[in-house]
Amino acid sequence: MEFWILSDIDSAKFLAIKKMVQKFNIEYPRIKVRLLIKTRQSMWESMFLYLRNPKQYPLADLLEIPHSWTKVLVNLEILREMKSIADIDAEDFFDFLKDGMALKPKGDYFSLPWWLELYTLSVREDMLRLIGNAAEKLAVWEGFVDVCRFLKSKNRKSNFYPLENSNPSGAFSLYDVLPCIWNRGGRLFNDEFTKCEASKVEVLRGIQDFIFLARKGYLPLFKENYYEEKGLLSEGRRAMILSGRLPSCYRKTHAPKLVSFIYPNINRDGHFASSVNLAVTVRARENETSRFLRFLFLQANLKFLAESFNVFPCMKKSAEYIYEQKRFSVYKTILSKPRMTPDIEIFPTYEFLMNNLLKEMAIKVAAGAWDEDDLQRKLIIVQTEVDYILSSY
Amino acid sequence: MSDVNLAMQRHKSLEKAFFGSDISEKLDFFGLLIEILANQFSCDGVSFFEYNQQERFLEMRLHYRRGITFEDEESLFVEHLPHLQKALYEKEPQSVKIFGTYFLYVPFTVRSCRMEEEENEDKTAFIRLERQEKAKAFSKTEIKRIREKIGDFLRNFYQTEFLSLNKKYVQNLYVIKNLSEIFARSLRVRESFNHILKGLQRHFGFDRIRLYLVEEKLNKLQGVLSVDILGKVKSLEFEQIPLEKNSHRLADIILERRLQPFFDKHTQKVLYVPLVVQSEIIGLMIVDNMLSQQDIEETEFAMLKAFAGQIALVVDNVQLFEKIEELSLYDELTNLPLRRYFHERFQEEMYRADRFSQPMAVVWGDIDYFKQINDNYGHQVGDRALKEVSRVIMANLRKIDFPCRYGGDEVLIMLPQASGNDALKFVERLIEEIKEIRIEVPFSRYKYITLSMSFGIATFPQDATTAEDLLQKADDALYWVKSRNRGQVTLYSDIKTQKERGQS
Repeated sequence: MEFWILSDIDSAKFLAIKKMVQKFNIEYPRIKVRLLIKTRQSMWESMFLYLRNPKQYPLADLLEIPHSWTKVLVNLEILREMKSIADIDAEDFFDFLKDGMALKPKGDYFSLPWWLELYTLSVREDMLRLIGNAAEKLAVWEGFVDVCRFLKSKNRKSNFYPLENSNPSGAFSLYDVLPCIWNRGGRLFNDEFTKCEASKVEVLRGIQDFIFLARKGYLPLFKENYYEEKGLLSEGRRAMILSGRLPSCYRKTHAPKLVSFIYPNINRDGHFASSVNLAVTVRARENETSRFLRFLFLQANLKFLAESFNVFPCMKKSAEYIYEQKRFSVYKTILSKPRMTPDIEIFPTYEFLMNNLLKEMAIKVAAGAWDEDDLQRKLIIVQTEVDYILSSY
Repeated sequence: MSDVNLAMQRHKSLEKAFFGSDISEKLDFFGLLIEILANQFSCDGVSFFEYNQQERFLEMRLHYRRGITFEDEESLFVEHLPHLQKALYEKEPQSVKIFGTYFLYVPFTVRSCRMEEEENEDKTAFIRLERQEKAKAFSKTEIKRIREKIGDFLRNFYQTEFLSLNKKYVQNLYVIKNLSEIFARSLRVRESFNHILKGLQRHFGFDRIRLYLVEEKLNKLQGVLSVDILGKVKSLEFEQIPLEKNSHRLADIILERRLQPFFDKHTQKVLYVPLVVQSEIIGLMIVDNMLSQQDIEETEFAMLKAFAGQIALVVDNVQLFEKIEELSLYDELTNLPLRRYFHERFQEEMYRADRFSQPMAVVWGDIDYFKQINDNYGHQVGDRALKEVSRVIMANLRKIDFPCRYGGDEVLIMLPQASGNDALKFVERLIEEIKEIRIEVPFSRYKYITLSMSFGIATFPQDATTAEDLLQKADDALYWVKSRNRGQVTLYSDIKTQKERGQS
């Protein structure tokens, strides 16, 4: 059977999955699992290549997808109902993840949340001492920007940036700017999801807030990627990181000590969270996929996966430690009021449009050629295109 | 197994991939290269990058690390990295040590085998090799061997790429042949538009294809059909776009007389294909990849451009065919069905009325003094009188009723499931409304003329049980009315009674 997984900034994820497959093969030596690692763009393209020519571009049996892809892939007749295959109760998962499973009234679903990201700001402990009164300063965006400015002026190390760029492409994406948009009171759609709000001033201001970090040299753009292994945070060439993942110091003693805070300013409608799900395709070999899926969703395997690349489990039972241990209190707060991207059919398209726009903006910032009017113009175009898709799909 | 053997093995699997099993195998080709380089030259990581000349970026496609090859998306801005600038300018490998890690960037050229592309430029790519802390820098001998290895792989790549392109050209020829057959078959089929759109969808696989037709008389663009990527067909009949400037972007395309296919100005994901016949736009086909956000390829654009004229001719032919069919069934002046069509339906209705023992009435009418109207005021006024009368008749019919212009000013109306009394009430309403008609008459001492009509009614099964007899009886009733009065109606059964009284 074939299992397509999403590319990740941390290759520890692939190693963990590879290990799980090896373990699975001890139990089921006849079931061969072929892993293929694809970027989001490439995975999305593969879905449409299959629709265009299923013989030439066959689907995998099992897919790892962002939660927001479930509904559109159901509509495109790529995913099959999977409760009968997985035999897992939807009630075992956090409630806020259920929409992304395309849950039906009888409890059937089309994807299972596999791992979770809870977005925080993590700061090196030694930098916190330097900042002084950090909790108060970092609670609001303006304070956070002041801290960036302060750290930049205080640090003379070459290639030092106050903030690490956690985006694998070295640019920034919708997930990076979304909390800033929410900070400004902006949102992606109207309440009824009939209209896109990309060109509203709150959205513009939110994106500008994030771009400001890059323009001022607080956030590196398009540099060689060190985040994963040695980590420039651990070298002291970065002081903070905005990320959905747990700093590795929570699990590894030799890692530099980082302290996590609630994302600056997010207190309105909830804290940003996102899940990555597993889904079974219509082409899946049922027996093999079922066995593999049940194996992957064993509590021990979910915990192993989450720990291996510092994400969080999606099943309530596997995530109990967040509630039990005091050091995870920030994450407990996020789980008390999580906010996800909307699970509507056209969201993936919207996300690609926005990510293209944001990459273009990042390129312009890097080249010193960014201007606000250009961003506004491009947001209007995105809104027009999304509204057009909303009206016709 | 040696790497050359591995490469040969991969070359064979790659051939299979290009001929239709899995596109990811193509990236696997470079995947194998970076894997071999990593193992042979003791690297902690090796990556394959493509150079985006327009944006001055290296964009990572594949990454090998910790024994796993995976797609990745790291982007490097050349302007900020002097070692990359140098590598690009000198086309020579560049070593650099950053924070204890040795990097070797090896540029190479991938020659394009595609002949049809306008921007048929060679592409620059990079292999990046990494050695972490405490490792040695890359020696000159190693760099030489790395370049040789890349050269070996590229020769293999060209051979496979060339074969795959050959296959693609053959596939395109099949597409052209198959679509031409579909178009030819679609000339006289009622479901023609469906066939054309589904055929295009099957071969190109766009997210959606939509068809709109220009309705010149009504000055609007009428939606016809939409076919999605799953081949599902939807009617677009509810979409009616007035052909007024700035009212809708599709209206503007028609009004601006854009005769050639063109991409949307903001994106290469929407393609407009005007359907042009003899320099007139008769419709608009829109293909889009909006949902998938995949660019429509240049080859697809070129093929659709080549097909646009053929599609337009088919659409035009289908419309003409339907028009001819319609013309032979309907009267062009009044839009009422013609006698031939009426008789077809009349036979069916008689059969149905007989089978289900239901009543039916036939009304025969003509405009009073119609000849004089024509003689005194001209045929244009006569035509307007006919049009107005038809309008009133059409407005009063139930859905199951069926009228026809029988010839000249004579009108026949079939009223299924109607008794003599029902028919009488219906005709009395017509008579009243027809009296209200005012036809302006220029150059006359009267500003307008008024109209009246006379009618005769026969019913099934009371008056007659065959179609021919029933029509005859209705005609008799009309004659009876006209010989005595005008602007009146009578039932055949009433004349019969009066005739019998007269005889007695």
